[in-house]
Amino acid sequence: MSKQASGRAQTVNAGRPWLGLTAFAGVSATFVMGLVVAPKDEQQRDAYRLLYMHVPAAWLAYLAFTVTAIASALYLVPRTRHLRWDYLAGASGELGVMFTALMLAGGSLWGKPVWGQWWAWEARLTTTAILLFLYLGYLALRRIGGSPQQRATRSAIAGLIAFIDVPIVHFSVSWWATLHQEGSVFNDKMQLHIRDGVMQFTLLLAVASFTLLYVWMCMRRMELLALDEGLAERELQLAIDERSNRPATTNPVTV
Amino acid sequence: MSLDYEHVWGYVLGGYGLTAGALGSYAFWLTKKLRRARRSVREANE
Repeated sequence: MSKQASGRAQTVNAGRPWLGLTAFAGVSATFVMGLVVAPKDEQQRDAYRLLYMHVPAAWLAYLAFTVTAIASALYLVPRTRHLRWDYLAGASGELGVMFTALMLAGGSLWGKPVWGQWWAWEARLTTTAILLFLYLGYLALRRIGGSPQQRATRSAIAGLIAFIDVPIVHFSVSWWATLHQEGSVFNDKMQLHIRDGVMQFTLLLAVASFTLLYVWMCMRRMELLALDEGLAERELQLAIDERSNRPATTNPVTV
Repeated sequence: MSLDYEHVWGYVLGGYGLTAGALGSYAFWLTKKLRRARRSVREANE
């Protein structure tokens, strides 16, 4: 078996059904808790319910891009270089883009009734928008041709460069005077205090279930990347054999 | 500016709907593509 095929064989064979079912059950419970069970906030009334979508999305955007950066670094270090790190970086980067888009959209839907506007060019929103476009660029870069190793190397470098914006987004509310409030959960100066037990439980459930969903999706996306690459390589090998009038010599595609 | 916090359910449901739609669509697409890829691998190895 070739080294690349061996790499794919060791890639997580993923998406355990129980994990997906638990995640979707948790997300469904979050929807019920967030929309029906959790009480109104004293100041923001029902508008605060968007927090149960916005906070997990923000947390997962950070987590996903951090995983992409760590996996990229592990690929670039010769001792740990393996294509599975590239698959993990790609899968997590894609999910990070989705959660960043959801964070921006959810924040915008909250901003309209609370701030009176859909969007403001202030530090947190602007740096988050830049983050989204940086990782859209990262995903585009992954689709440019070349060998898997070439793609993995250039993507890993891009993944590390793009990650520079993550701490800037996080600390933007402390570094600059912004319209966006500081941390919503652990900051006593906040307008929105989460002291009610049901509210705290709902937020915890939201973060936990969305995180499980991220793990399940990431494992499945990794497997899909590995399988697609294995199939593409096999097709290429078959085409080369056919052109040189050799009998097919390809290794089986491994999972 | 007076904020009308009593009439925000459209925004709230929009946010929840958008999240459900995005996550559900992505999970559906991923499952479909993964099944197809697994089938292709099985056929290629037969």
